[in-house]
Amino acid sequence: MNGIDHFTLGQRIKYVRSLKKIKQSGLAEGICSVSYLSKVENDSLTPSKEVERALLKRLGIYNKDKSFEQVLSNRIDDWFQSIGTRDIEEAASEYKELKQQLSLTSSEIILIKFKLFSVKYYIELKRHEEAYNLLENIRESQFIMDYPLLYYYEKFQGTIRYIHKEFNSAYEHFEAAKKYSEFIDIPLGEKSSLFYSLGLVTGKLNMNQTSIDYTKKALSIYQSVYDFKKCANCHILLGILHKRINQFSEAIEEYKKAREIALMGGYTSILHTIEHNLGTLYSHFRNSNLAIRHFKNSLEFECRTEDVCNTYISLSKEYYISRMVHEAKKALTSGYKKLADSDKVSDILQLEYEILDRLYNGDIDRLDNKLLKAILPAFEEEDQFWLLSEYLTFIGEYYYENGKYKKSARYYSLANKYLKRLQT
Amino acid sequence: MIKKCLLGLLLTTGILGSSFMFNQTETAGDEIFPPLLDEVEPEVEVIVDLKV
Repeated sequence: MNGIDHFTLGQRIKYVRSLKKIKQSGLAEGICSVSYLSKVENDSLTPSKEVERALLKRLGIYNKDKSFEQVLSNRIDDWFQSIGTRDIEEAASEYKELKQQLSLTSSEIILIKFKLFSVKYYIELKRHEEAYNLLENIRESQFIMDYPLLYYYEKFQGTIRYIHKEFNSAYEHFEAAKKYSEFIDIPLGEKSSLFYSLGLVTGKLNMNQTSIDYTKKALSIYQSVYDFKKCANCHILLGILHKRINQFSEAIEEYKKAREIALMGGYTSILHTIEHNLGTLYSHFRNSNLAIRHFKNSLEFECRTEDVCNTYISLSKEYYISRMVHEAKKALTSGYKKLADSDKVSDILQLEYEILDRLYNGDIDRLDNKLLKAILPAFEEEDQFWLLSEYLTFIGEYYYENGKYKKSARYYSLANKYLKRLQT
Repeated sequence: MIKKCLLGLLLTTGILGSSFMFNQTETAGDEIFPPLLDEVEPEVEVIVDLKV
């Protein structure tokens, strides 16, 4: 979406009338003449308040009086605000009751508001597919949404796209949400959440300086409301970003701040992330001893299976770099056991295990054919060019050391191709 | 001959210079990002003394 193209009264009336398949004569009957309505729809005439109210009421999009609809609308607002802050069972029971109440209203705007706010509920329940479908279902209804609804529509679109790892699209939606937020009063918590989301997505897109700016804005709000956990997450993100722009001491400082908070709050998954990222930082310095120590530290803390598997892969690679092949194999096996216990890990992760396993066991030849057919497209599809170039170099190195120079050259050349794609 | 060509290729592409090339660019992506949404954290007491 480019800029804010909000809809005029005439456009809204015309859109909802067409949507409900009501003829102009049907809508105008008893309210105004057809030609008057036509002028209103074309925005060449501003109707009186009474006519506007009557037309919107007939279309079911009038929502300004203390009617049943207003009470219902307020109740939806309260429910929406409570999602994530109270027991999920309470939210579920209110959701069911609201659904029943909605059968008593014909107000289009309330139905859309409920559907839109339900997206947050589904995201909270981690039912992302349903959240996605709901957003698709109300995509066409943007015409009758006001700024606050449009803000949340874009924010949720961004969130779902981010979860699906569609970072470019997520960025566009979060940016659109930011534009709408400039026209409305959004709660402080929502503002910080938007800045944080923008920080994350721009970080994923390697827009490092932009990401630092957004993350610092989010951090400053989280600090002002003493939201320690979010502060720790912002410090981690800043650690990643400072490392990328070669500000290593700043990166370590950020991780120290994050760790102080995480230790205080007992946030184990955050501690896992900090230690893992310190491992990658020292790996960057080619200090394998410290890298291995931090990777091993991170495995002491409970966290998501996917993150544990990632750490085992990083640890295994670090051992391999240090020519400790036995330890590399052991780390890979431990990670693979975790992977086998979970059904929530990405295909990419499984492929990484497969590549390393073959590499460590000198079984690259069989992988050679599979690589071009299955692995390359899978990594490409997820824009994992960096990982791809890493592994291709690994394989190139393997062939080089085994005197298979032609194959080695082929893999180095491919690795270089993907590195170049990263730079463009 | 092939070996010479390969070395030429490696030098021109800038890949040679280290046995492995992990984490050699600013776009390295193997860090774990913090989560977008709040995650339920197991409440446990953490007693550790870690040094950076």
